[in-house]
Amino acid sequence: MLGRLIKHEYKATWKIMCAVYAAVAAVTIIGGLFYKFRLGVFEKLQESGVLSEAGFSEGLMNSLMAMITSAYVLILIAAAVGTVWFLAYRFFKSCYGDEGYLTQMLPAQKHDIILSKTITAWTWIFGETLLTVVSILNFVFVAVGENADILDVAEVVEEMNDIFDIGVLPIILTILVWLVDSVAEILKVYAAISLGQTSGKHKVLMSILWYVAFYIMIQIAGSMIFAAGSMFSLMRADTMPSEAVFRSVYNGILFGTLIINLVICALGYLVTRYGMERNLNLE
Amino acid sequence: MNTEKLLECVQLTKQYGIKHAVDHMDFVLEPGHITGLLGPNGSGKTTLIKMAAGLLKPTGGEIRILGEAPGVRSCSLISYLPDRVYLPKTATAASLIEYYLDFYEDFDAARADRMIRDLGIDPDQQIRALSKGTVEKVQLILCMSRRASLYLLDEPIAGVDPAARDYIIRTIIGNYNPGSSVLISTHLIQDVENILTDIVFIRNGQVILHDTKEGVREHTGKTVDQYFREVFACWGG
Repeated sequence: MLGRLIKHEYKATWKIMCAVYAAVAAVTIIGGLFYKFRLGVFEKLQESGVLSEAGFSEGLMNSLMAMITSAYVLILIAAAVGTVWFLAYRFFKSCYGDEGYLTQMLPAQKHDIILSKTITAWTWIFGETLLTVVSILNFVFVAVGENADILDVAEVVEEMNDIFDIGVLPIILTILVWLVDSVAEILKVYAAISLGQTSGKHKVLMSILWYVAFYIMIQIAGSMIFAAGSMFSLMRADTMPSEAVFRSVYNGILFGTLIINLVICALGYLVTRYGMERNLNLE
Repeated sequence: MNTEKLLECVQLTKQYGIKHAVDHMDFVLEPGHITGLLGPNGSGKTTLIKMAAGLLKPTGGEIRILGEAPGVRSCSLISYLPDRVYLPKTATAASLIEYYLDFYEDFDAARADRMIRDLGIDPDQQIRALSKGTVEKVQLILCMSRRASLYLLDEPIAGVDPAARDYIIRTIIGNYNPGSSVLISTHLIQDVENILTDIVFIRNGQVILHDTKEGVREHTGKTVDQYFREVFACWGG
């Protein structure tokens, strides 16, 4: 049943998500080409005097590049926000809107319905994030262009090793935090929607308010836990070398974030399931 | 005849604030009946049907489908037609047949496909491009193409023209099997009266009459439609 639910969830979302991916890919290519143009052809044209004859000044070109860069950044932000918004709206519409009559009448456990939507949303968000990272890296490499020697990756890694003395554990923890964080974010949104739908009117508004309430509660709880953890590490600072204290605080933050996110995942799942099973309120 | 209780309500109650949408209702539906759930607006018909479908939780009392509370099993036994368009706007009739086939073991895809073509509906056209009446026909076809134990039809003919009503009524009779039951909520009593075997009058969330159609006609000397108008004439619902 879970497999079938996932299949139909992908079928319902792939068109919009592929459009988002295509938009990110398009701005990456266009942005990259513009930077190539600026760093390559533009400079040659400037040297030959063609541009000044045509009325192009360096200032004008810089303004144009600033606009393109801003547009690039805005499109990346819009793609990231749009992805989350679309998937949240999809969950609301298919579970608690009119389409909920179709979804909620399926002979499937609510657990499977929640899981299928979480897995699907997570993979789309993961793909979008990955694409954005690749896009930014591409932009950085192109922007650096001919001065690529300043970005010696091996040297950067070596310097980071010197500074942080990175072992395997923090790297694994960082990846885990990244992966679990997006699941926690999805389930937080689902939980807010599942509580918001219980109000007779203004379901969307109430869902947003619940999300804001969750966000504030998590921020407060997270700050208190990290403050306590940092204090504990610093209290031990006298007996430990400074690098060890740094590593301890860094790993502590990662552990803390991971545990908080796992707790959010569990609570988000339980609240969503409660809303679907015990408090369904289809109009 | 199988006398197992397909649907059973025991002191079933649904309260919104101080208002009782369904008020301590006792009601049993056995297999082999086409029952008209009749009552004015706000009498609790849709609330009762939604509770039977498991889409609303009762405030009090119990509701059981073949002896069990609504859940995963009841979803596989019940075929429910809501009183609204619930199909995804971007779906097509063809993709919906595939969807139903994936999730419902009792779904007869060939029957659904035949009815879609009989009505001249383009199976590859998106729902958003179809008229409201055509969408309602698609919904009814999907609902009645299941070999379910209990069909819950909430206002199945309210939004369609008289010619389509005839088709829908024929579809209900043609696809329903004697081992199952149909519960139809409607205002258009005249249109469905001929196919009903049983009548339930509901007012203020309570069943005020549950009898066979022939019983109602015999006891009152009136058609169900005439009797309904008489009973609810001054109710103002």
